[in-house]
Amino acid sequence: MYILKIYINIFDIYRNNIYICTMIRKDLLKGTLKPIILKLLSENDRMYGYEITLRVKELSAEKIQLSYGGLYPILHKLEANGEVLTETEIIDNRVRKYYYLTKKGKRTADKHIKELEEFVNTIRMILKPGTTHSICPV
Amino acid sequence: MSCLTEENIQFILEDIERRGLNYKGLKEEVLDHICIDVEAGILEGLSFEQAYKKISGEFGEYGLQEIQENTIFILNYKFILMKRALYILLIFAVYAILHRTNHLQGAGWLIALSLTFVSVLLIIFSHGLYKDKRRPVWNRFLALYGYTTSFLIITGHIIWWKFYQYSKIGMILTIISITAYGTLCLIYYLSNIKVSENKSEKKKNKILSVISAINLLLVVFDIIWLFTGHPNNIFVIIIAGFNLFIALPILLITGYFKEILITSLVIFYFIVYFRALPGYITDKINFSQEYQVTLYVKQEKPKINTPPYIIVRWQQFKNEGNKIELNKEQDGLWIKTLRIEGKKNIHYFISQDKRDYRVLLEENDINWNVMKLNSDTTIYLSY
Repeated sequence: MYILKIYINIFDIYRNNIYICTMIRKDLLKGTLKPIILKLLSENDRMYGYEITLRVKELSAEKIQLSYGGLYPILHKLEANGEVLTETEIIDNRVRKYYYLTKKGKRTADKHIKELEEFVNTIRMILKPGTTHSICPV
Repeated sequence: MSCLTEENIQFILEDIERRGLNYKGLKEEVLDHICIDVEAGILEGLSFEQAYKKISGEFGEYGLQEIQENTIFILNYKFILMKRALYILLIFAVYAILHRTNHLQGAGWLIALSLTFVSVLLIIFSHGLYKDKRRPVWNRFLALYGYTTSFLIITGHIIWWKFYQYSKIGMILTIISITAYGTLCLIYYLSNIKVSENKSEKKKNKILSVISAINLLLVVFDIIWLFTGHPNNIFVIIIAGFNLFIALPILLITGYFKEILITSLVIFYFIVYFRALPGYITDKINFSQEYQVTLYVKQEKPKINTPPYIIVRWQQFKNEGNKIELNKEQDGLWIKTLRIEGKKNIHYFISQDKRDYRVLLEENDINWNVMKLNSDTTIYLSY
């Protein structure tokens, strides 16, 4: 038992449930979550966590459902990097934390969205040769 | 208007805390998120209990703890990288010790490299503390303390082992650095107990404080024991043994191994105390096949009463030797029982000079004698 615990602690073996998605394999989504979150924040003055998951769910026709585990680590990282700022409000006896982009965050958002669009186009070129210029909405 | 009562919210809060989510910033917004999900369930016609059961089933018993770990990992990846560096340090240390106990060349350099690693980790840790704005004055004080300690570790070790004529200064600096490191750990974890955000963090800081305190106490006893003229083998064994067989397993089992400061302290103490008496260790521990021989040093016409030393170096290990005190058996006869690995030639000379043998080597043109220690051997002194 102790040997197992040591093994888990050394190699950081945690249960792998980063985000839930109903239709799209999570390894395909890997790397796209940050641009998705940045894109939504760039289109809104401010958003809170639940609002972001709801919006992703709506825009993806319920094919992508962000869980807490997918969303909050990224939001906290963006905050630590100075790409978003937060403000809190007490709503219905609970603390609600709103996120909004800083100038640095807006630049990062533009860069990431552009990169993602290029990536999607490249994949499309491979999968469907001849349809090179359409831009996939994120 | 929310359909959740204050009791409902309190119930959810307590449940998510029970599931291991304690990180304050994250806890508040996950609570809000879950509450909205539960409210949606209630609006669909479920009771509070049914709605919460459905939502909590989605993240499971360990899901929230996992989210917390992921968040902390993403926010502290530099420290996680430092943890990886600790593994390398541990590998270095183990390899160095295996080297040392098997009399292979380069062990000294590997140990020096391990200690350099400890110092670098301490500098990085101190830098992190210096930048931490939560308790600016206190953290800066600890950071400066950390920088000084890492400087002492490096200089002390280099002087002790490489500038033989100043080896006493090096030894004193090393002793100061060991004590300073132990004190730094103790005050860091003790001060963290007060500002712990939750019970598990408090428990962790308490355990780490205890490990630091035991180490520091043993070191203080060792220093007192040493300066009062006692042979310090007992404390060397206790400190090295405590860190290898008790402290390190505790850190690994509990997962506190990720705490850079305490882990590097444990490894640092182990290396230093293992190294402190290489003669003793190499006499007593050998992983390869060994056998025991008794060395007789005989003076034909007894004139001297002060105990002579035999300085021994292995043939393949020319830059380092062991100074072994001989035990007086009777007038003109001293003996020492040694554990020897393999049938090897050893180089030796006998001296009555109490100073570091490396100083003797530099001051005198010593003719090393060679003998094969296969069985009990007698050496005759010409003086």
